[in-house]
Amino acid sequence: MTSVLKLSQWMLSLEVKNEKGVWFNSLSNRGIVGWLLALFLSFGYITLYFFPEWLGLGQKGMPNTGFIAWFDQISIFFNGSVASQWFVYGFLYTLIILLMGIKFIIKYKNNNYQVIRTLSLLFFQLCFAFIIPEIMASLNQPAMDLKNMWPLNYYFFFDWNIKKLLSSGYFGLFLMFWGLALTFIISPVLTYFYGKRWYCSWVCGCGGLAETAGDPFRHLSDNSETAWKWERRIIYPVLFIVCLMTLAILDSFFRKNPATYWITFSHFKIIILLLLAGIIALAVWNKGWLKGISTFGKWTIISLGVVLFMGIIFSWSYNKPVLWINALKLREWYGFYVGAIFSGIIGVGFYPLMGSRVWCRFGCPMAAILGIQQRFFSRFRITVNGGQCISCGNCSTYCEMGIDVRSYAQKGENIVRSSCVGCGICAEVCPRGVLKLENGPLFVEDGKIKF
Amino acid sequence: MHIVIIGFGISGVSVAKTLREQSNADITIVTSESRSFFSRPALMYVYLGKMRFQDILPMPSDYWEKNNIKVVLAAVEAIDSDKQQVVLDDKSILFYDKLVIATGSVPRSLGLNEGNISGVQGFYSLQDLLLLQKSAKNIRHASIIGGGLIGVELAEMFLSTGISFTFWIREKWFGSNFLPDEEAQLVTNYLKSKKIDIRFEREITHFDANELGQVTSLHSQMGECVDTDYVCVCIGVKPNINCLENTNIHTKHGVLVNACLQTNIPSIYAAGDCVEYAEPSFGRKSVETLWYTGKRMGEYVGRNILLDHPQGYHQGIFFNSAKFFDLEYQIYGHVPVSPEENYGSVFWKHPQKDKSIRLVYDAVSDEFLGCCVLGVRFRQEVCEKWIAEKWKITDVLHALPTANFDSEFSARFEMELLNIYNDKII
Repeated sequence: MTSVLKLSQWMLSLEVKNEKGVWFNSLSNRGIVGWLLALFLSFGYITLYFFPEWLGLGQKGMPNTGFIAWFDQISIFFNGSVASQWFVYGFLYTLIILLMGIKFIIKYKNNNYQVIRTLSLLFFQLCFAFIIPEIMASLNQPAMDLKNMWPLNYYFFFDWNIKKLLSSGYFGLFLMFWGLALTFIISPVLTYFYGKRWYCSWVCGCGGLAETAGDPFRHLSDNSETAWKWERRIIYPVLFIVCLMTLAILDSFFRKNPATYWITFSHFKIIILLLLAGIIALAVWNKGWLKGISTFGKWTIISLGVVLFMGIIFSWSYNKPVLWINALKLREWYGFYVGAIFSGIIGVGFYPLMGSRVWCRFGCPMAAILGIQQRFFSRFRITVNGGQCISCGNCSTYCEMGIDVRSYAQKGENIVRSSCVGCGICAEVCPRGVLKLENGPLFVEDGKIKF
Repeated sequence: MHIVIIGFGISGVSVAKTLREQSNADITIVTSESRSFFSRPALMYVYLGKMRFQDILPMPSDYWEKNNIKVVLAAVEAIDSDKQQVVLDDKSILFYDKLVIATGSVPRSLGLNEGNISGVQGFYSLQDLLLLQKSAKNIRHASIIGGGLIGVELAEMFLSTGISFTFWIREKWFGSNFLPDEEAQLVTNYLKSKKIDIRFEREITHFDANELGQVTSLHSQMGECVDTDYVCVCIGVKPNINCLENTNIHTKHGVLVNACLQTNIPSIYAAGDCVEYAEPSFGRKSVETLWYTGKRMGEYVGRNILLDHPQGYHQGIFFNSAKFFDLEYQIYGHVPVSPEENYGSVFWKHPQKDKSIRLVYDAVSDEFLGCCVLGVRFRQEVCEKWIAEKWKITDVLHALPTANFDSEFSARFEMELLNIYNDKII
């Protein structure tokens, strides 16, 4: 009871306090309160995903009761029907981002970057993720979160989504093109100019929760080399699997509907093979911007690409599902293990244990793609102000992505890391003002200053 | 080849790191403080609970073993430069080919016999932190003596943990011994806004202690007597040269070194706070107890100790930075505390917020000499370029936006400075 009281007291407190004492507080030092909160959150996700009836969701057309019924009137106001478990989830998610976002803004009110960034997160969550989809639904149009793009939105290319969009007239068509443009045009261009932060810490909903509700737990992200190793071992396979899944589902979609749309099955086959060949070619002739990849990484990409290329050609020439994958099975598997368990239960439930960005750091395929872009072709970097680092460790401790910022700063090296989401907290907590997020043209190059 | 480094602070570590990058020589570091190399300026964050002790270690703890650098926890008892050996307090002997003295500094004493009164300490070493952490629970009223950076850190620490305290400062304003008057006033007003009991122009005359030798009160020259059961003396530091007594290494205030940071004995070098330049360069002090200076000297010694004809050490353009609570301070180049001959300065202060910028130049030649900023961040490379290339103040004013290092979307103040300068000229 006391821990619940303490928790609510802290949630409501709007006092401006820096990170003083976080390692003394049972909530934020993996103490008993932190563990209780982690259990509560994880259990909450499990009930919501798998046992919504425990929360009072009406079964087989029966009216809602209990917890879910509290939200019926709000749901009716927005979209005309009683609350579903997903409405309750979206509503609470948005509410927590708003409340904790206000707390965050008050805490960092002297830093315009933090204030504007957080306002952006609140805006996109409230309007794009919550209100606009509800309006779309109430107008009997397909509801879509306009900022949620593939591959984070892994069902964008699922057959039911494509069918829904293509059968909803011009509006559906617009959504289809918007989604494609977002992934293949808008996001690479913005990432080139601003780094992945334009999405991860300005727009994204997962980022929105991490930056606001997760802020008190950011120092719990492990910043050891081992953690970095595991980060790479998990996030790229997730990206690979989501690509494979999308390929398999599109394959089965085209197999069932061979020539209903402008893009036919054979167009699709050619596009996929060209795409793969392009990736292999880039890895083979990697001069210039692919320099940073290790030999092992390079050969992994090349050999994997070749195996896939051959496999795809073989399976298609025997008129089998691409790579003999059971698309439905894979989809089910991904939705359960990655969509529900990883991004939900672990991603949010483990905030008080592993920091606020577990999902973004170890799992999110979107973050992986944007990260590759950020690492190899983006102007974004964190610059270090001369030799002024005093190696205190605030930057590394408060990096939510577990980047050992200090190890670069004390050598005077700029920080260009694929995982950096550009939250700017390292620059904020630095007691000597040594760090600055920048995406302008380079000022200092090879020790010479360029104006 | 065996190189022994006495001292495990930033200077000694910089020597070892730089040396290891270019040589396989045997390296031994001797320290009596801690087996872990920690960031000294970060000790306050451990007290505040902002970081744990393991978070303030700049290098992974296996760095030393991986790089074959031996760390010995012992105090130095004697140095015999004829036999080239160091005797430790456990009576073991280290033979060296080259020796580096990087013993750092120790807190200055008030000279009031405070070493014998319990409850009076400094805040400098890891041991000081542990002592403070132990005493903190029982402090009824603390006293901080000395208006420097450590004094402000202690004020922040006591304020955040709810310990009542009095802050005793010798100067008229906080920082008037290292800041120009306007800046010192700005910082002073900022500190006063924190509702701290600060007393200026005070010197402590003596302490009272009870029969257990525990401090009970202190007296100032103004006749004040304040009950206090915990006193932190932080009136600055001086080179730590205790272990050099009874050796033939020349010392004055610190270890005297030549232009290559070599002592009078060619195989013995010195780096960091313990160093005293025999011939300091223009505008610089002979003893510079700064983190940045220690790091720079350490890297220089590490690069040059094995060379037969090393190039002289360049002090580089002076810079320093600090933080008073949330107020950041940076200085580049030469910014005198009080106006000197041909002193020209453009000073801007924010009408409401705690921010100021000062550009200092030579009023005759118009050459830019340096700048100091409060609540604003400047870019070191750019300021150093202006100073090294002797830019004119007017060119600096026009190029001022390139020096800005504040976070994105911050308010900009370059035009204000230009206007102030133009008004001055007319």
